[in-house]
Amino acid sequence: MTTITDTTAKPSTSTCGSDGPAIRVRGLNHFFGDGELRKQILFDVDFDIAAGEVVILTGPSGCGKTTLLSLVGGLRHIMEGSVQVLGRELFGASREEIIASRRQTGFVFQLHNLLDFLTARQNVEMSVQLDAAISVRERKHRAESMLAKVGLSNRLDYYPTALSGGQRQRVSIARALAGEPRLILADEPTAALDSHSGRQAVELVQAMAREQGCTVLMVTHDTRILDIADRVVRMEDGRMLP
Amino acid sequence: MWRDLPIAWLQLTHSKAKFTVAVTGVVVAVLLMWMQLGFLDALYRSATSVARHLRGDLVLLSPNTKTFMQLEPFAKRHIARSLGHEGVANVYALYVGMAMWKNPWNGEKRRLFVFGMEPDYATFEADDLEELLPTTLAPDVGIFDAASRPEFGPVGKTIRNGEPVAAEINGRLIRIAGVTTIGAGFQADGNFVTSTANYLRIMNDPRSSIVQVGLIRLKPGADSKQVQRDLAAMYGNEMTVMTTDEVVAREYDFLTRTAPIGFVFTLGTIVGCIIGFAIVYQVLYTDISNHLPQFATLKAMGYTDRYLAAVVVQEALILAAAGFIPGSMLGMALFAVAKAATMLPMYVTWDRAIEVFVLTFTMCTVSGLLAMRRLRAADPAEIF
Repeated sequence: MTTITDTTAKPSTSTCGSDGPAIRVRGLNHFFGDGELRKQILFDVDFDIAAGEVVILTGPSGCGKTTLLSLVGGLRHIMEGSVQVLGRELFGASREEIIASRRQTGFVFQLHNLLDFLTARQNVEMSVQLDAAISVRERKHRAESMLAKVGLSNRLDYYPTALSGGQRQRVSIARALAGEPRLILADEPTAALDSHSGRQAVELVQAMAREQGCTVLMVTHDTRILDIADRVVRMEDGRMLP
Repeated sequence: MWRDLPIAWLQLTHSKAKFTVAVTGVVVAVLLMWMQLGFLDALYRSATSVARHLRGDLVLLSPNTKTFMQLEPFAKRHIARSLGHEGVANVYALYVGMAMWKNPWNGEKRRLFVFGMEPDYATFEADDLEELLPTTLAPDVGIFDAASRPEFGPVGKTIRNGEPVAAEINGRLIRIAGVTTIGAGFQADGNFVTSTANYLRIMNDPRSSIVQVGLIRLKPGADSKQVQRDLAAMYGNEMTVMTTDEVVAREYDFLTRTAPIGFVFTLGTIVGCIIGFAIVYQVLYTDISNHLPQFATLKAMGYTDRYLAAVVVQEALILAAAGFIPGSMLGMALFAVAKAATMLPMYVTWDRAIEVFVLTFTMCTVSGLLAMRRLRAADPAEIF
């Protein structure tokens, strides 16, 4: 397997359409604990996700889907197997490569995890700021326009505590997308929201992704939103179902 | 980096209560440091006033004298031996002893230092001493130190009002011709200056041949180091020959290292540092702990560990700056209060300001560096 190592640290601003899959996983195994308490979580996971695809990963609790997501996101150390994300091999990658990969990925979490001491606008700026080439004015502009796209132009200077749950999730989506990532990883984005806000949130992710041409991998239990995906993949007991 | 959002400042000031607590911690530490160092300095200045203002180039002391605060006697004839050296212009004797003063207003007795010298040359500098010294040519006349403790009585105030003051020293009635400023010492907190003749009568000791300090003035152009070496060789073990600078340095050393008082105030300064350190650490650590998921999210977004560590250190430095200024201002205000209450010469010097500044920033930086370790708990893998 040839590995194309992408060493740029900035998120690419071009739309996707590169050759090869956005995500390619082969023979991925993962364990928790040591010695006698060692438990295998993932068993020989193989899958591909094409550039621009919207894929939902679903399965019962404890099946390992969240662990898989964190491995693809470079948030967890890969023990065994190959995980190529946007052409970059994460297994055995250096700290710099991991960070570069993270910067090209937008994360949407179940809990918004917005910084409580920053306004909505500032929170979004935090992801744009990672690209050192962007000026302060441009950074502010991008944050504002992204928040406008998620329908929060009248809440730019509000702190998270002054926003509703649905609004906070929208800010966090704006934050994930403002850095123009090539890959979006979402973990149970609707779990903390009512059905209306939840639906709105995932439709937003889908729309933004189509607009920027990004790949989306979303982990969810929520059967009501499965229709937004191009493809649904199921996992059970650490194995991907064919 | 300069164009980035000022995360450190925003996080620190988001909660006014938290920020106030943290800054107060630093202010308390700074204040404690100022008070401790201020008192130490003031006591030092006061107790070593005479030693630091000797008028001469070289000083002769008994080899048994370890500090100016405990002067051992030696034979007066040793002083004159210096005159044999061609570099020496003149020599003087300074008698130092302790006597009992009776407060003329309330009859209370208190010990004070008595200094005796020939009225034609002031062996040390003090306010107006040189002008007043000739008055001591008259029998039973002397000059009182207005910086002595108030328990001696309002001598300075009375004299300045133009009224006469006479007090018993060792049972002998002495007229006070004027006041000077010297400063309270440790063994005794009052001072009195008079002529050699009056001194000997007060001390009831006709042995004018026993003296405590000898002063040597050199001819202009003489090499003091060389003369010191020559005289030291001449005296051998019988006398110690020091320059006035060496006398001062030795007093400072003694006070800060040997005397218990130096230790006490150094300890107090350390306690101040520890308090400031503990409060800053607590605030920073708690702040990080309360924001672990958010910091983990930042890591997931691609922020480096170093970036987050820098944020913590910046917060520590902001606290140092925010606490140093009000703490120092409060310190100076308290100096004025303490000075009025204790009569000690308390004032701010650049050296001390720099020292407190360095201590404050070091204390906060170390605090920040240690609190930073808490960031390790921000694991991006756990936020899913």
